[in-house]
Amino acid sequence: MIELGQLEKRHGDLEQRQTRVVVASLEGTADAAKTQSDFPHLLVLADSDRHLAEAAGVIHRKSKFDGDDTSAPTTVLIDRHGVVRWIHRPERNLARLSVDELLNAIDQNLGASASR
Amino acid sequence: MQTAADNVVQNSPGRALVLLGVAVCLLALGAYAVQVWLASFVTPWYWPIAGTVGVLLILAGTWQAWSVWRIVGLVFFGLLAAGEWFYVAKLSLLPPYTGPLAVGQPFPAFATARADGTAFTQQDVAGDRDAVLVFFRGRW
Repeated sequence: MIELGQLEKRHGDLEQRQTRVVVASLEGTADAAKTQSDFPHLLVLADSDRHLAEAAGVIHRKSKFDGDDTSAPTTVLIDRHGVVRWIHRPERNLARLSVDELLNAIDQNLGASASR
Repeated sequence: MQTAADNVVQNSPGRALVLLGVAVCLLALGAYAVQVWLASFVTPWYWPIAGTVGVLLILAGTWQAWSVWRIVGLVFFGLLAAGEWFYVAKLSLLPPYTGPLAVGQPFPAFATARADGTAFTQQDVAGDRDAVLVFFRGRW
């Protein structure tokens, strides 16, 4: 959630790059609605049916403290044509991409997307 | 002429080391709390390392003069440091990504929901802007 807070705080830098941020977890619409309210500039998905997480292959089995599954923290850059341009997963769940690292990845991997 | 502090050191050999060790252990916990507050995303290796240094200081102080409380503290902070190593080095490891996504390939088809319950599919990812898709663990 700290990560989402940083993305919300720097949404101007992301919009400047004509990039929108879509965030997804395995939680239902009630939790997702709270998250959406906390981070209004992000598009929050409620992927409790796991269709998106399974399509992307990001389910981390039994990783929650109660033994349930979660989404493994993963960041994917997708260009405006729907093509995957970059995939990042931290080595440890204590680490996350900083916004500056993400902006750098966007500049390197999506910078020319509009002309493709 | 001896000062009160000298008397304490003579009467309680190793006490300063024990107190310093406890302080280092607690500071390591506090430093991690500050890191979270600063929204820093680096792996906090300093946490178990400082915890181990603290335990070694407590051990050195206990070696000079043992007491039940020192041994209790040594065991407590020793277990805490072991837990810190286990959490940072082992428990926090994520499996490497081996999923179906591939750079240069279209994002696979899916249908899920937005926070308001309306539909969201792979067609909504494409459009007039690029997208950053962030999978996170949830609100817990």
